[in-house]
Amino acid sequence: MPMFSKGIVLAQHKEPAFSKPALRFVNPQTDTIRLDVKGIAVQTKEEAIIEIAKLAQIVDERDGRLLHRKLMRAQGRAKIVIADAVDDEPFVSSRVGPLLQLTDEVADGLELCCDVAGCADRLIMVYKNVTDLQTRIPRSLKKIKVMRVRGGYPADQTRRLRRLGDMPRLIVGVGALIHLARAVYEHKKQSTVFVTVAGNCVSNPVNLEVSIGMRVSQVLDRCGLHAEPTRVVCGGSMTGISIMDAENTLVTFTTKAILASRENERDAHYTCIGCGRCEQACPAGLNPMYIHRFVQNSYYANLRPFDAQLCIGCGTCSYVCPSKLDVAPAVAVAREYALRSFAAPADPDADDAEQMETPGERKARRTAEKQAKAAAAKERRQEKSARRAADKAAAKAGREAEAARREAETEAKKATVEALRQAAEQAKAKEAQKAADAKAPTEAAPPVQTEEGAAPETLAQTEERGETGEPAPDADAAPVQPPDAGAAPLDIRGLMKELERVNAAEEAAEDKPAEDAAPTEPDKAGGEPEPDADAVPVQTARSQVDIALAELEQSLERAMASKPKPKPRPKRTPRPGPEANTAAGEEKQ
Amino acid sequence: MKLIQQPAPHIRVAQTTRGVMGDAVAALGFLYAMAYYYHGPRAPVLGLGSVAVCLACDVACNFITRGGHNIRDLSAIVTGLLLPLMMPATVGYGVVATAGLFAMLVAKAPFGGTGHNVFNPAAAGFSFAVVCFGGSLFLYPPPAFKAPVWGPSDAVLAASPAFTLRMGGTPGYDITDMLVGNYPGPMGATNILVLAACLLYLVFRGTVRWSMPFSFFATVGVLAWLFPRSAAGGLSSVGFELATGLLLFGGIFLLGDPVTTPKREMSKVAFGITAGAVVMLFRHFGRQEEELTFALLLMNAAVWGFDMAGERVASIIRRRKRKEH
Amino acid sequence: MTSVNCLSTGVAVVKLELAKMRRYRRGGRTLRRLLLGGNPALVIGLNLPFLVVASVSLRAAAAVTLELLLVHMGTLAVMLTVRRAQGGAVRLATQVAVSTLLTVWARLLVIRLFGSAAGTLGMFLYLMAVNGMTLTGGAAIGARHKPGRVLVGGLLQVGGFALAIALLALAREYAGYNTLWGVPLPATFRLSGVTAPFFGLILAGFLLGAGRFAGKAVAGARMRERARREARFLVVRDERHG
Repeated sequence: MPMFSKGIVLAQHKEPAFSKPALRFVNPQTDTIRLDVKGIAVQTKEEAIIEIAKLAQIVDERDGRLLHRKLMRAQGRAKIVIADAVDDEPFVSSRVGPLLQLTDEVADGLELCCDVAGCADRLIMVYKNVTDLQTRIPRSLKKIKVMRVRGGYPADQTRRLRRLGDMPRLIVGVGALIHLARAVYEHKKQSTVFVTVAGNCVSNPVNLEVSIGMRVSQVLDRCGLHAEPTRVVCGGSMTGISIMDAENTLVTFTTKAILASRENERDAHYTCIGCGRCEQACPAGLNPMYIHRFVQNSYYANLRPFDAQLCIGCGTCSYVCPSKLDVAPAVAVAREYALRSFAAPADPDADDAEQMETPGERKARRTAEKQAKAAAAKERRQEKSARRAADKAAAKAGREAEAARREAETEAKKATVEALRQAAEQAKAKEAQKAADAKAPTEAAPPVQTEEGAAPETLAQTEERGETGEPAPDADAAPVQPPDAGAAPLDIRGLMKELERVNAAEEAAEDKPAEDAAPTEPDKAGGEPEPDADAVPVQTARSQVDIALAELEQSLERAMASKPKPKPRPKRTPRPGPEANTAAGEEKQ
Repeated sequence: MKLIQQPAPHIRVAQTTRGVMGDAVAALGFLYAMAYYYHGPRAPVLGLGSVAVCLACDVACNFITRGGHNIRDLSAIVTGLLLPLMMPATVGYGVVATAGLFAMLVAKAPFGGTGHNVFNPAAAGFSFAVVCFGGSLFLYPPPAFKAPVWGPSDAVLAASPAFTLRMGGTPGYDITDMLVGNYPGPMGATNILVLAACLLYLVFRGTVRWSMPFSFFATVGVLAWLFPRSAAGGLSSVGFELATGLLLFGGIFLLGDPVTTPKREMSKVAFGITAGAVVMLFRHFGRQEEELTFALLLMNAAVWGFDMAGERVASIIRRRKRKEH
Repeated sequence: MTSVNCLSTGVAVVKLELAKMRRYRRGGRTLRRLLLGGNPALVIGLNLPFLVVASVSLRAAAAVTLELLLVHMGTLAVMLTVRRAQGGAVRLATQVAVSTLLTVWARLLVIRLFGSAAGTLGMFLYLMAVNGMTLTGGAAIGARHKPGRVLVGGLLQVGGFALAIALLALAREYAGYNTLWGVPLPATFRLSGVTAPFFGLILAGFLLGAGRFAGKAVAGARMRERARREARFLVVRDERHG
C-alpha cells in the first residue's frame, strides 16, 4: 500500500504554445544594453565567467536566485551540471520550448557552467508525462543526454537524481543558461525572460521572450484575447498569482507564464463531502480535508497533529477537489499558524547547499547534526539538573538559616520575658522609690531595639540595675490603670504566644531581613538603618521595663483586635515612649 | 477587463461533486433496472417517490437554514434511491416516505446538511423504518412477482434466506439462484452479479475506494468461516453470509458513502475490518434478521476516532520520511 | 444625515457594545428559565432518561411530573429547614432519607391516581428519588439563596420539565399509539418506532434546538429594538445640533 501519493497526473495543455516558434517581444532600449567587460581583471576563466554573470545580473528563473552565487558555490565542487526544463505545470512550456528552439545557446551555457564547476558531466531534464505534444522531444540534444522525469505533479526530481547517483550537482534553469551564453559571447545583459502566454481566452498561445518590465496587459494584447477573461495569472497554472490589475503588473525575472482564462461559475458552492481525494493526492502526506475544516471553523487548537508546516504549497489538494473548494489557501493559513506557534521553519538556503554535497559529506553532516543535537540536549539536561541541585541547596541553606534565626529569636524573647518577669517581681518585692535616673531619655523615646545579640545583654543590664529596687507596672494592667500590687501572676505564656504570633504576622507582612527582626518595629522599612540603635544600652532600667511592657501590651491589643495585618503606624511617632512615660508618671503619683 | 483575485491553483479537475454522486446514481440505476425486471414498474415508482420526498426535504431544509449549499450535488437523490432498494417490492409508499423523511429531517439536516452528517442518512432512514414497521419489512414477494403499482398486492410473502440463516438453517437455494437474485429478498440487494458489477464500476471510477469494501467483505468472510451460523459450515457459510441480506449492498453503497467513513487509507481498512466484525456480532446476537444498518450507524459514530488514530500514525510516518529525505 | 443612515449607525454602535448587549439578553430570563434555562430535563442530563422513557404517553408524563413535583418540592422544603445544620453529612443523609420517603409516598399516590400508566414506569420512579437529590443539589441551593427564591426556582424547574415532557408525550403518544390520554383518536398512520427510547432522545434534541432558536430570536429582537431606540436618539440629537 503506497503510503503517500507521488503526485497527480494532470492534463498538460501545452500544445499550441509549445510547438509554435518562440517570438521576441522586447523593448529595444533595454535589449541593446551591452556589458562593459573591459574592466574585468581576473586570473582564471572560471572567475571571468562568474564575474560576467554577476555583471549581467542573471537570475535563475527556476528558483529566483542570482546565477553567479550559485556558480560560486558550485565552483570546483559540482560533479554534474543539469539544465532544468521540467515544466510540470499545465499550460507552461517556457523552459522546454526555448530548450528545443535555442538549443545552441543552452548547450553553450551548459558548457560554461561545466567550465566553472570543473566537470564534464551534463544533463538536461524534461518532464515525461506530457502526452499531447506535437513535437517530439529527442533523446539527446547536441550530444547531451535528455533525462525524463517521471511522476505526476509536482515532479519529484530528487528521487530521479538519486537513482542517477548521489553526487554534488548544479541545477540551472534553461533560461538562465541561455542568458549566460549570451552574456559571455555577446556581452548582453539579461533584459528578457521567457514567458508562456496561454489560457482559454488567449487567441494565439505562444512562448514569448518578453522584456522585463513590460506590462502584463501589453503581453496579453500582443497575443490577442478573444474573450474577456475573469482571471489573469502571473506564474504557473498551479502556483501562480492571480492579479487584479493587468495594466500595472509588470513582467519580472521569475514570471514563467501569463495565463488568461474564463471559468464556469455553475459548479461552485458545493460542500465538502469528505471524499478524501485531497488526502490521497497530497505529496506531503497531509490531510488537507481536516485542515481545511478546522481552518474554516477556527479550530486552530486541533491542528497540531496534522503537521500543516510540512505543506509544500503545490496546490494539488485544491486541484483535485470535486467540490471546488479552496483547500490550498486554507492549508497555507494552517501552515502559517503552525510555523508561528509550534513548528520550526525550514532553512530556505539549506536545499541549495545540500545539492553541493557528496554522500559522505551529507552523512557526516547528518551525524554531526545529530551529535550536536544530542550534545545540546545533554547539556540542557545537565544544566537543568545542576540548576535544580543548586536550587535545592539554596533552599536547604535558606531553611536552615531560617530555623537558626527563629531559634535565636525565640531564645531572645524568652530571655526578654524572663527578665521582665524578674524585674516585675523584684519591683513588687522591694517597692523602692529610687527613681532619680528614671526620666532622663524618654522624650526621645525611640522604639526599643532588641537585636538578637543585643537583647540578652541589655536585659542583663536591666536585671542588674533592677536590683536597686524600682517599681515596675503590672503587665496585666493597662497603662491607664493604677498599679495593682496583689495582682494575679503574669500570664507569661499567653503573652509570649501573642508576641510571637504578632511578630510572625508582622514579619510576613513586611518581609524584613532576618537581623532586623525587632519585635517592636513592625513599621520600619526593610533596609533602613536604625538611628538610635546605639542608644539602647544607655537607657535606664526603668524606662526599658516600661517601654517593653507597653510594647507588649500594645501588641497584645493588636492581637486581640485580630487584624491579620498590623496597621502601619504613623512614621516616626514615638508612641510607645510617651505612653509608657505617662503610665509611669501616673503610677508614681 | 474586470478581474477577480483568486487563490492558486488556477485550474481544477473536471470532476465535480455532482459527478461523484452521479456515479452512484448510475450504479443504482442498474439495480433499478434489475428490480424492474423482477418486480415490474412498482420498483422504479417507489424509487421516484422516495427521491421526490428526499429532494423536497433537502430543498426545504436548505431554504430554511439559508445554508447556501448547491442543490445540484445529487446527494439527496442518492439517499432517495438507496432507501427502497433495501426494502421488499411490495412495501407501502408510506413506509418509504417515512424512511425518507427520517433520513433527511433527522439524520441529515440537523447536522448541517450534505457533508456534515455524522450518520448515513439512508442507513438511519432504513433503521427507523425497521423499528417502526418491524416484521413487514422482512417479508418478501417471490422474485418473478410483478407487484401492482397501486393498491394491495396478493403476493404470497416469504422470508428471505437471511431469516433461515438466523434460525440456524441452511437456505435451500443453489448458487446460480443466489448469484442472479432469483430468490425472495430486498429489491436491490439480491442480484449479486449486478452488485459486483456496480462495485467494480464505482471502484474504477474512483468514487469508492477499494480498501474499505474489500476489507469489510474479507472480515465478514473470515468470521463466517470461523463461526458459521448455518449447519453447512465452512465455505458455504461464507457464501451465504456474503450473499444474503443487505451485506453486499450495504458494503458497497452505505459503507462507500464518503461523508460518513474515514478518509485516510489505513483508517478505511481499519474501519472496514471493525465494521465487518460488528456486523457479524449483530448477526449472531441481534434480534432482527438484518441489523446491518444499525451496525453501520454504530460505526459511523466512531469515524472521528478512526480518522484521528490514522492521522497520528501518518504523522509519525511523514516525520520519519522527512528526516531521511 | 438621513434617518436610514442614522439607523445603520445606531445598529453599528449597538453591535460594538457587546457588554451592553448582555444586559438586554437578561430580559427574557423568567420565560427561558421556565422553558429551557432551568429545565432539568434538558439542562441536567441525568433527568434526560426520565424524559425519554416516560414521555411515551400523556398519562405517564403526568405521573412523572407529579412525582417530580412532590419529591422535588418536598425535598427542597425540608432542606430549607435544615440548611443551617452543621456538617454536610447530616444534610446529605437528611436529603436522601427525605427524598426516598417522599418517593415511596408519591409512588403510592401516583399508582392510585394513574393506575397502569404509573405501573409501566417501573424502577424509574425509584431512580428519580436519588436523581432528584442530585438535581436539586438541595443543600447548596438552600444554603445560598433565600427560601422564597429557592421554592420559586424549584417550581419553575418542575414547570419546565412538565412542559418539555408534555410536548414530547403529546407527539409520541399520538404518533406511536394513535391515542391521547388513553383515548383512541382517528389516524391513518402509526409509527411504532416513535415510542422507542432513541426517538425520544432525538425529539428531546429537537426540542432543545428549537428552544435555543427561540432564545436567540428573542434576544435578537430585543437587540434590534434597542438599536432602533438608539437610532431614534441619534436622529433627535442630530436635529438638535444641526
